Amino acid sequence: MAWRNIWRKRTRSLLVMLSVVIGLWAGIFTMAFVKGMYTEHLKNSINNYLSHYQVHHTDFALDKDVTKTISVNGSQLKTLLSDQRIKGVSPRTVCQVMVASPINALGVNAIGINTRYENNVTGLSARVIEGEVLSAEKANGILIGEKVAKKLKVKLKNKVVLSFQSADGEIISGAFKINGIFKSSNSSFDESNVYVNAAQIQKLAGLDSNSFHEVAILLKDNKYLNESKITIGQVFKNTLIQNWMQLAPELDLIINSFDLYMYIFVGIILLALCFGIVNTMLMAVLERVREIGMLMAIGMNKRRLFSMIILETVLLSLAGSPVGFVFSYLTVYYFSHTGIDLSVFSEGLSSYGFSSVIYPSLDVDFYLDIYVMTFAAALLASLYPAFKSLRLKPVEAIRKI
Amino acid sequence: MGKTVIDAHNISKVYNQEKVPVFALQDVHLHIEEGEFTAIVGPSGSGKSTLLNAIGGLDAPTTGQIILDGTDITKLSENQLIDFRLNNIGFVFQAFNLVPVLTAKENVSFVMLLQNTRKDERNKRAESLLQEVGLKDKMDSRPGELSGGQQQRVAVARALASRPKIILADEPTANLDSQSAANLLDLMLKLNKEENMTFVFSTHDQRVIDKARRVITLVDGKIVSDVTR
Repeated sequence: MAWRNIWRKRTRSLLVMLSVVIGLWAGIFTMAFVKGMYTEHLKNSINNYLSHYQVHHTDFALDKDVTKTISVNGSQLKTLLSDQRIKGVSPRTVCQVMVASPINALGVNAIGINTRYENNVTGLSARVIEGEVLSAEKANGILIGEKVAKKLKVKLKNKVVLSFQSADGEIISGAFKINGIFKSSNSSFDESNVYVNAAQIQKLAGLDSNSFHEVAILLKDNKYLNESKITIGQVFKNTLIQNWMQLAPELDLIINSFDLYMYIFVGIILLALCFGIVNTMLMAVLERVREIGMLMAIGMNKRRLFSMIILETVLLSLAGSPVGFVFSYLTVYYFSHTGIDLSVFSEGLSSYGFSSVIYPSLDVDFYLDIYVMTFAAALLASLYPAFKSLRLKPVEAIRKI
Repeated sequence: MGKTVIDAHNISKVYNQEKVPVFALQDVHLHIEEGEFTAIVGPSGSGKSTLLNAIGGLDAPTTGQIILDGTDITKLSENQLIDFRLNNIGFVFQAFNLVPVLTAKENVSFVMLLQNTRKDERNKRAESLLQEVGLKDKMDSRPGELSGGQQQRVAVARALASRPKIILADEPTANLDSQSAANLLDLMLKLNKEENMTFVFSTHDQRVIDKARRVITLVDGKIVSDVTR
């Protein structure tokens, strides 16, 4: 009877169902979009620089002094690279430097790398948009970001001077020739980092060839994060080994709190839908005052009446939800393959480290949770009309015209 | 003497007690035995419907006692009253009051569903009752597809479905044309005779009054005459 009651006012019920479909679709798709954006952001952060693990001198996090190095040799790198879970290892020197052109000067991080190793970790070569990657043959080559090049007003083959503090505390300078210009999806990173050959920095800073400030380790999958730490610890003893969550706690916070935000957002949408459903059901109850009075008169007890209104509301609310879920899933599935091109906003997005192509994604668990939330919202929406119907007195209700 | 099914003592119903009291019923005594076919008549506002509602447990009297088949219904809680009505009283309303989304058969079965009767038994009895009221071929029609007279026949079948001891009918012929009213009255008389079912109905309709074996006249909430023919 509850199901048939829904269809007394076909248009009105269809409108409620449509609002549920649109509400669910809007909520789920927005969440998938934002989730896709942050997932991509996390992936970019890990793949472009952060990696899954970084190994430093135990004091390096507190004082990024040029002398806080760790010793890295070929056999250590070989050991790590032989591990099936590890995709790439890159030893780096990291110095805070002043890079100067004849026109301008900027404070940046000079990341000393070995291109062969770095490419396996960050795929740096792919991000070089002009010129070429660093090589041992061109020892004093430098890769700078597109924005740095603009600020310094320099181009390929121009020279810039890097000034920084050496291991013995002296300020030293070295001339570098612009070998290439890179661009990543994170313009803030591009503005504050330059790449040079690690050997050149070691030479200028007075460090030996095994001294590095950092070893970046990229895993084949994030799922190996916990188990890989033991292996890394065995290779690099008495060092500070940090995973990406410890290195970038703000990213960890975003990812961890994201689910909560999603549920709050969908909760707000469902709450708004609830008001529409309550309104419709209240109308349905008030339109049937006589009938409800008659049902109570002939012997329908309050428990049955309450259940009938609850069931009617829940059915009305949930009837549209499968369509909403299927529609949402198909939309998310389609765009997760094609992506949503937001190139027109690429500058703004890249300044926050987001890609200009977003691939919406959402776990299946989330759909199940939303289904439960929709059911709970429907139940919540049904309470007021159900209680309202209980307050009717049969004799008064029957008298109503 | 037959078994007493309705025994009402000193029934009064007062509305608006705090301000200007209006007496809908004043000190009414009523004694109806099993198998009676009783009409309650009187002008509008005389208290006919109020008395029927009080007997049916739909509206509590302000004072007095109503005993239906040995149960003092004025002492029952709201939930107990609902159960009592379900199992002991059949109602026929002036405006039919069928559930529009249910078919004639489902409307009749519905009361038995509330009594938790088994489905096959419900269907069997609903079909037999509809056949009895002459609507065998309208079982699957919804109320909107039936005439007023047919709807009221379904309402009578529904009232009988729970095997009640008393049928209370409030102006059952008021919304019917003369032919339908006559047919309905014949049906109620037949059920009264064949099944010894107690009928109490309020009416203005002279044809109904003429067929009633007992006529109770109410004026201003008081019984002014009680005639058995």
